[in-house]
Amino acid sequence: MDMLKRFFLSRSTIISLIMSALFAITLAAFIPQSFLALSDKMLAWQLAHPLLERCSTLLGLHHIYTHPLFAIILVGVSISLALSTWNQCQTAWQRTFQPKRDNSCSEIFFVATAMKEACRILISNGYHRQTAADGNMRLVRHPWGYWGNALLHFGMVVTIAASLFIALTQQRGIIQLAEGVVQQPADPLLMEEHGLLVNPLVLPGPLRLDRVTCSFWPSNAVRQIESKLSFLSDTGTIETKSVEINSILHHNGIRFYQGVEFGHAFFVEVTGPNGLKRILQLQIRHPEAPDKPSYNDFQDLLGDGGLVRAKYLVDADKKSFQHVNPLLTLRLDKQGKELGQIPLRVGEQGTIGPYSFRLGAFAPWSRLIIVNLNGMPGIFLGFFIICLGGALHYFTPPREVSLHATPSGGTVVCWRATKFSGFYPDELALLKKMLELEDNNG
Amino acid sequence: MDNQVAIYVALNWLAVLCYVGATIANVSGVMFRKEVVEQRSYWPAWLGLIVHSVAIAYWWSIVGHGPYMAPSEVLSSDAWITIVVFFIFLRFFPRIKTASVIVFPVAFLMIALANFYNPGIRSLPPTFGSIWLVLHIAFYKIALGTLVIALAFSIFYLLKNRRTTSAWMQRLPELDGIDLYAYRFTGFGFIFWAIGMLAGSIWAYKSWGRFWGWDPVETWSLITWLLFGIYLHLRRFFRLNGNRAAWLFIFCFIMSLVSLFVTSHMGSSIHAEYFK
Repeated sequence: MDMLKRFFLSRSTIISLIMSALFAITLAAFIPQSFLALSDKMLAWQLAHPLLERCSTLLGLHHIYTHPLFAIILVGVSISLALSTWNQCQTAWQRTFQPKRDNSCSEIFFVATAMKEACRILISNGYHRQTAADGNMRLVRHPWGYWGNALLHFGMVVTIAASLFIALTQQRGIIQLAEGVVQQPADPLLMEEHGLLVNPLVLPGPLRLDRVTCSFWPSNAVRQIESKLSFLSDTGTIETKSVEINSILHHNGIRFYQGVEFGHAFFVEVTGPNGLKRILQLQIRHPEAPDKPSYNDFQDLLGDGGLVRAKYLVDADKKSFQHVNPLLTLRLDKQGKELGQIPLRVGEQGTIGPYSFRLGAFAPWSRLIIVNLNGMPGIFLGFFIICLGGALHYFTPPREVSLHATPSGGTVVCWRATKFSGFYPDELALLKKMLELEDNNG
Repeated sequence: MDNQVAIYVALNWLAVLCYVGATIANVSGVMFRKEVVEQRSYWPAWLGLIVHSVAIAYWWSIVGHGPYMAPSEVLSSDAWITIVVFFIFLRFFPRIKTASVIVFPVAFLMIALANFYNPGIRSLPPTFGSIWLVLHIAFYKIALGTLVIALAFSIFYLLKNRRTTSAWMQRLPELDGIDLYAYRFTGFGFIFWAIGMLAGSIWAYKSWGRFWGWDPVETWSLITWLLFGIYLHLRRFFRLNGNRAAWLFIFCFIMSLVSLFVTSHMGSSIHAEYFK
């Protein structure tokens, strides 16, 4: 057990672990990660770097953060940090409450002042009496500084532990709803993610988006987005709440965030070559300016392998976002060739190839991020402890003074700063001056 | 609007002039051992800081948000915080005053660079209206200011630790002292960087329910922080010092610049809103 502890606390292990973590994260920054990169971008990278792609597939470099080796590094870092924190806590405790007699000084000098008087002067200058025995007295300035390093590392342990807990237990997903549309609990969530210890997130009941309200800056940039939601229940009761950016909605333990993505959904009735009619919902993001259209592509939407390309203007006159009179343009591509395109306003229809399109209605849509996670207070706590530890470690390194009474009635003063002593020559000089220095060997 | 931009740019150039004056006086005071000139170089520096503060406050009142959206605002506020951080640390550690030889020119170069960007008004995206974002940005800027001071001492070490050194370098602290200052200010920067990173994760959690998303900027910020962690551990456990420590710091500092200014340009990053 001791050997294992020594291994994790050895300076070589610590530096190797940090370097390994650094190497892995740097590698992940250069090689696209499957959970981050879009499939078309991943494919483009693979085609551009065939050799790297083979290495990456062989070694699992496309999923570094879920790679067993990365998990080992993370576990190693956590154990090492935890053991180191424990050791540092023990050291800090011992230095604060059971200090050993330590003769190491960076400065030792003699003053004619009696020890009691010297002690009084030091206390009035921020030193705290720690021990007194056998004609010796020990005082410390900023004794809490002993705990700086321990807290700094403890904060990191808490943060890593909380992050790990969140990663294992979080549930999240996205829904993009158009006004008036109901999301049933059984409906799949977009970009669903869940930790290893939990099941995918399921909505507690049906959810309807009643209204999306957007406001804009004079520059047409989005200022705020608000969604009004109705939570429906089996008993027929309806609970209406609203969510906006940076104002989280809590419902039945689940947090709803307003996403920045929003736009208009177009309900298009399509009649195929066989005469079959169906209604498609085409969601397109809001344009950045009234005179610029916004685009979206829908691959194989009609089931014939073709590509439906859609663009729209919020205001067909290209004047303002306030005046909503959308103009939708649909284009059909097959095997890379354009079959045709049609502009549609509400109620209008047109034909491209064998398909007939009719724009029945439109409605605003918005993205809602749904999250169920616990453990964030751990991150907050870790954050606070790191700040506290860092401040204590770097801003208040303890300065220790040992006083020893001499038979002549004077005092031998032994001074040292536990860290960065080169920063405090002025403080030492002032101390000497105050204690009516009779420098012995300086 | 044109008048407002003209006033802002003019104030910035006036601040640059003050800082340039401070740099000339400061460097000549240090190099030619003119204590009075060196001491008085702080007058134009303070004047520059006042003008600079007025410029930032004026622009803030016009655009309605803090100086963290457009490149000109970002660089100008970086320069402002670098100077303020230096003055605050100088109050507590007067022996770092020679770092002004690097800090003053860095500050005026940043504002001058800021002036070459169009200071046009950028609207604040809705997710940017959070106090955690302000803390996130502020702590990164403070970290940069502290790292610039550490950079000054790393450069001083490399200059002073040569076989032939100029006479003015005698004005610098002893080599051990310079090394220690570089070490400690890196420690300060490391802590501020960590706080900035964590404040950012809290902002992200408050805004879209995810405290870490492996966004390119987040990833490179973590890489930089780990690099500084390695630097600090190498110094503490492996007694790394002298030239090797100085060169390692300079490498880490370059990485921090990449993290702060280059990765934000990556289109896939949510931080790209800054430099759009």
